[in-house]
Amino acid sequence: MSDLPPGLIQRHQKWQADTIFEVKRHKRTPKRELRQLRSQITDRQRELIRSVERGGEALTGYMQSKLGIEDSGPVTVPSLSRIMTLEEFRNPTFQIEQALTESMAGKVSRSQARHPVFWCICILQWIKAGMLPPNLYEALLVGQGQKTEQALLEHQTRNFIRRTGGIDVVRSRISVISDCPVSRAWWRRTIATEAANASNGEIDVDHAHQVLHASDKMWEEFALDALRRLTSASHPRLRAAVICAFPEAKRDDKTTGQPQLRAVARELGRLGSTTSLQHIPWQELRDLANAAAARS
Amino acid sequence: MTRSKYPMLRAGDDATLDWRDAAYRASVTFVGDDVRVSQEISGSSHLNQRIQDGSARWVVELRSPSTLYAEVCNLDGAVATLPLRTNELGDVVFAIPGLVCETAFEIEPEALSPVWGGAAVAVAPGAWLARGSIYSNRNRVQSLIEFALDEHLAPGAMQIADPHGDDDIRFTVFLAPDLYSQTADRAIRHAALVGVFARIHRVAAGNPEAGTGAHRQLAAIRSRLEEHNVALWDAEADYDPARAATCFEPIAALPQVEEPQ
Repeated sequence: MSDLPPGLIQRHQKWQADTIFEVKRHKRTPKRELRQLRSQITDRQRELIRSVERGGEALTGYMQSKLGIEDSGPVTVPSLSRIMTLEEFRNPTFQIEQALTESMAGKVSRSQARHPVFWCICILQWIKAGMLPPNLYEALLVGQGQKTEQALLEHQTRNFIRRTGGIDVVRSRISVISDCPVSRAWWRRTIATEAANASNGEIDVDHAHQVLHASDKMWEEFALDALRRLTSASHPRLRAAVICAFPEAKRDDKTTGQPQLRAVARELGRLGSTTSLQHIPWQELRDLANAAAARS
Repeated sequence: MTRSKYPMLRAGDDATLDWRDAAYRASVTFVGDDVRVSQEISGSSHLNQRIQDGSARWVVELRSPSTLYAEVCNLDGAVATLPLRTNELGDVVFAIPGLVCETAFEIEPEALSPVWGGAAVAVAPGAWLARGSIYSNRNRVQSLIEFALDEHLAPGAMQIADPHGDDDIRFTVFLAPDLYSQTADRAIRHAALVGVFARIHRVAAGNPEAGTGAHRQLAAIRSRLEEHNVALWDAEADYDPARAATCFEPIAALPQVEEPQ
């Protein structure tokens, strides 16, 4: 489970940057040059979409040439235990996330999983092996309707990049944790496992995973706090205490305190500057989380 | 329910507000895949006794935000080397050394400053008794800049993009192919850094947490500039990107070549 070569990560990021039109990057580009650039990007987008439409072989060949690799390159791709349907891939339930990630247990490290290109290579190999839905157009490109062809291509290209690992050149490090259904499932299960192991036997992995799965928006905000703030927000015991304070969270149920969950995590994160979350007695940490939940 | 405040020693203070005579020093270095931590408490036989009897323990907190990782690791002693779990970590790792209360004990009133009211203070397990600064395996300059190749740039050209995402300030500096192979060149790094500091005020303006100190990178940069009495980006008229950049990475003058006689 060695880390990925920097050249591979850079090639993937460069390919993303060259294949999407990021307005803020070209604010000062003269209009004529901008038109030319826009047209080049549109051509690249058409090339990508055509390869998706032609099916798994064409798509993997296209991406391998962009990434400069043969087969899966330096990545050892974990095998999936079951074939995913279109709906399962685009909107995985808790049970699907559970099954998907169990087959990868112990085969993916965090240092690999933080790179969208790792997941991109895995997804391409799974497509090639027939483990992902055969209607790739629906799985990887389709989103809400767009008015012009250019807007549609841009939208589909971004969807493709998001759903094959993440669009880190636009959304930075949160993208791999939040945007791609497969990598998001892996990160949620990993954090849930860690929290369950730190909970003094109070919650199991499935329970923790269900709470984190309750809302994608809440999951993203929860993860963003850990990425952005230099507090103890990532400490497994903190997450365990927060999850224990919200035992009833259910998917899309706005009444189960999802915004409060973030507030409690923040409050406990601040506690880390005066108290070691590893050494505070578990029951006291639980009580503090409950008290913060009651206040929020 | 909230947790009580306990007396804490901070690194670098000769005397803290909490303690009468005690002082705490710490240093952390990253060497390969290890982190080396050295800590010392002087002027407090009381705390040193607690370390001896196991009531207090040397630790280091490790954090790697990009992999959502944080852990407080127990150390074998005041000077210790800890192997990093590199599979768990991202490029940037932070380490915060300290001393933690492991089992409850009381601190005698004579050891504490009068602000504690002249009474013994009962310390609960988990309280940081001493806590060092935040160390990183990357210096601030390294973590601000990320070089990328732009094949469309003319030879010798450089272009700086706005930082991508908003969870971390990292500027992508696009380089022409002839420059990209020489990113270790100090002249290129300096030019990039000056360019980055010319744009940093835009990030600060767009980041509501910048002024509150909650954004760790902006807060660290701000504090370094203040320390060196260099104008901040807030003071638009006085702010000088070149001065700010060279505050972080001074330009080393080339040795003078002696003219032949």
